[in-house]
Amino acid sequence: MVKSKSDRLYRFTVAAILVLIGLVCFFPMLYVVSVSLTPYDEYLRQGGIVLFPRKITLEAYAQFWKEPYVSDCFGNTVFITVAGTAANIFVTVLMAYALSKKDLMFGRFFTVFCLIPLLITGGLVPTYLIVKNTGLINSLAALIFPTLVSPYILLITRSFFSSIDAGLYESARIDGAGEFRILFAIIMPVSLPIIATIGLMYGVGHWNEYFASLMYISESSLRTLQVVLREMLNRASQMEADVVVPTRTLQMAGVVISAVPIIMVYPFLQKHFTQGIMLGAIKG
Amino acid sequence: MKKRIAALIVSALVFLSMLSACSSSSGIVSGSSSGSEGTSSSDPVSITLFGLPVTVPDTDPIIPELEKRLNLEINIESTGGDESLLVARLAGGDIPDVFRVTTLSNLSGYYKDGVLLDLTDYMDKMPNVKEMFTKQQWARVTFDNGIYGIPRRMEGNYGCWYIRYDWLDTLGLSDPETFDDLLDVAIAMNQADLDGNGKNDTYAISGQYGTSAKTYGRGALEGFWTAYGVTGPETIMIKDNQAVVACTLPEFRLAVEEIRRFVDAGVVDPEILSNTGDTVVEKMATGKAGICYGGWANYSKAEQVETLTSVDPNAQWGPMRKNIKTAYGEAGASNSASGNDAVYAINADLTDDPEKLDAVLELFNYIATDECDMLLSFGIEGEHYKVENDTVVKLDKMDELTYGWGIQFLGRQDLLYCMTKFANCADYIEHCANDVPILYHYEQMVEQPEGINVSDINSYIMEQIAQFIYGTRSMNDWDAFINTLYDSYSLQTYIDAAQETLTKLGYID
Repeated sequence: MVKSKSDRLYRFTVAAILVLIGLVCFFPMLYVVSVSLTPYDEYLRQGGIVLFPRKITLEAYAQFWKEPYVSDCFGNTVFITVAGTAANIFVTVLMAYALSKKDLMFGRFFTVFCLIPLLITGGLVPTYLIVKNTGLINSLAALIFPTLVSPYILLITRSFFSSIDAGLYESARIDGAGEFRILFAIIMPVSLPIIATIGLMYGVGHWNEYFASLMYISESSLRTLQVVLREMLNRASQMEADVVVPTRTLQMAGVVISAVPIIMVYPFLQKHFTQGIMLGAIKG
Repeated sequence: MKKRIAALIVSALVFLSMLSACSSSSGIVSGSSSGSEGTSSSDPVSITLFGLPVTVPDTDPIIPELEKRLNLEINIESTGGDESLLVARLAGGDIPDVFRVTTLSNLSGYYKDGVLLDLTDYMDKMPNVKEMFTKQQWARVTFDNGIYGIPRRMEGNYGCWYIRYDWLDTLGLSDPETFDDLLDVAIAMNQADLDGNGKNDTYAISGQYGTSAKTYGRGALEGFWTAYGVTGPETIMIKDNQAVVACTLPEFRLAVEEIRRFVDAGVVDPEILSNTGDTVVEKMATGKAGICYGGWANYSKAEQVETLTSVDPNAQWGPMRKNIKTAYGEAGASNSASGNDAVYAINADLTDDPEKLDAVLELFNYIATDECDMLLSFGIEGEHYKVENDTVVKLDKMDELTYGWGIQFLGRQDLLYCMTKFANCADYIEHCANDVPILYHYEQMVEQPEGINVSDINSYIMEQIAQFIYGTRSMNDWDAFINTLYDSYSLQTYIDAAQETLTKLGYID
């Protein structure tokens, strides 16, 4: 098909705008990484604007790693992200599968019951009391179990399961499979897009966990990385004779360590995301 | 059917194993804050100190030494100074044994909630603590004739104006003594491109805009306020034996007009409102500022000097040798008359556990001794410091105790502490302590009156002053601004409360 001049101009303009938006998004990340890799005196010499480091050092990373409890807290964050996300997916899939069944007794009631927290949350103090009375205070479990199922994500997963062709269930049943066999052997393999999607949603939430850690954890070695990062950044405005204000390079190293691992997960899940979106579009 | 049951059991087991893995690997910490744990007389009593503003590293030798000396088990729980966790714990009835309260207003709220121990009847068990503080300092933590907190000793003044002396020498100018001199210096710095980068990017005057009362320094404009005989905009001063909010004074308006003169001349950093401690130092190091209000603790420590000379090795930052004078006063610093905001409070429920209560009282009484003061300030003798000819001499390992300020529960002997720990800054420390005039403000002693939100008043004042300074609001509106404070924010009620409190405390006759 021959493209007209106006078509080409249109495509060029769209591409140019998208490239521009991409650069705008990319620039802060590049700046953060570049500053974190630049020696502090070199950073100052360049007037605080470093896009491509002339000299590279990992000193800021080494310094950040030496901050009290950073390695422990990094481990905690990795643990709650991996274990928490696995627990989230497991429970969400079980609940969503059951709720997707049209013949589930009181199915409508349970669906509405699960969706109530979308509108009304438990509140800070009642939630704290539940966490306390279940003995979870000062344990990493407090960062996993209170948010084991997100009603919003449950709704998405339930809708996905509902949209799977009923014939798949019937054929499995005819072959003698029970509900668990159907779920884990038949449905799960064809649900990878939704599992990847909800896994990422839960995973990002766990990786960025800040408030729950602040509320439920007072033991320094059990906190999450984001709390340590925030405490370090706060030092920049503390006025105490002893306080060593973290340099900008140290702050940026902290930001990189706190953000890059979760950003690196995205490319691996991109394929499933695209599939998920396509599936949704076809089922429309 | 059997398959279904088996599948159900397997999945339940997987789930339960995850639960147990989670709690076992994370190691649920015991040591509930209020549980007595059934200690015998020889076992150490367990005490939780909650809400410390700094993370105490696991290599800390000071708290273990304190535990050893008093046969205690001290559980330190740091929150980085964030009080939201304390609020949740108090609301949930999970009250720590001892906790840090960051403001008087919060302390007053907890008193009303009935969670604080009235220490009045226990003061005889803490004679050292009783003696350590003045009547006014105790008054800060007294409500309805009961004592509900343990104050903290005042720190000295660290703040003053810093100037780049190498630039002053290059310009051939002498130390400014008036604001006219200072403006001349600032304009010269602004126009001379002293950093030689070929850009007109030197603003001369920079710093941080103070937004909350600190024990020293209120940021970039402190020198202007104090030179006109006033403290920070929202602070309460005593003027002519009357409590007043600083910004309502005529002298304060003169100070704002003075700053406007500097802003109009283009010599004031437009980013003062958003500057943080590290951005100010960066501006100083990169030649974007030549005059900054800060202090020795910000600009004179070895690592800071290294930073400030990293771009220009000839850069010489030092405190202004002469104080700028006006008809109303002399540029200096302002301090809270009652010292640091934060105080420690004790859980009222400890009366049910006399052994633990006695241990807490003994702990604080010991903290108030010289022996413990040395431990909390300087570490362990022989390891972190030594004493030679009655003088404390710092050893290299003392530099590892950067978190020390967070465990100085009752403060410290500030001058001795700073002169010992930062001996290379001795001249600057003495200058700030002895040569810089200090004005005092009193708002931390004033309890928030019913129906008034002091935070709202403070925010409004700070926002409006920023607008007046940078010219987004005309000085012609000044009277309207003051009237709004009285009419919409009930400022008079606040002032009346301050007058009553300060009269009761003996500051006002």
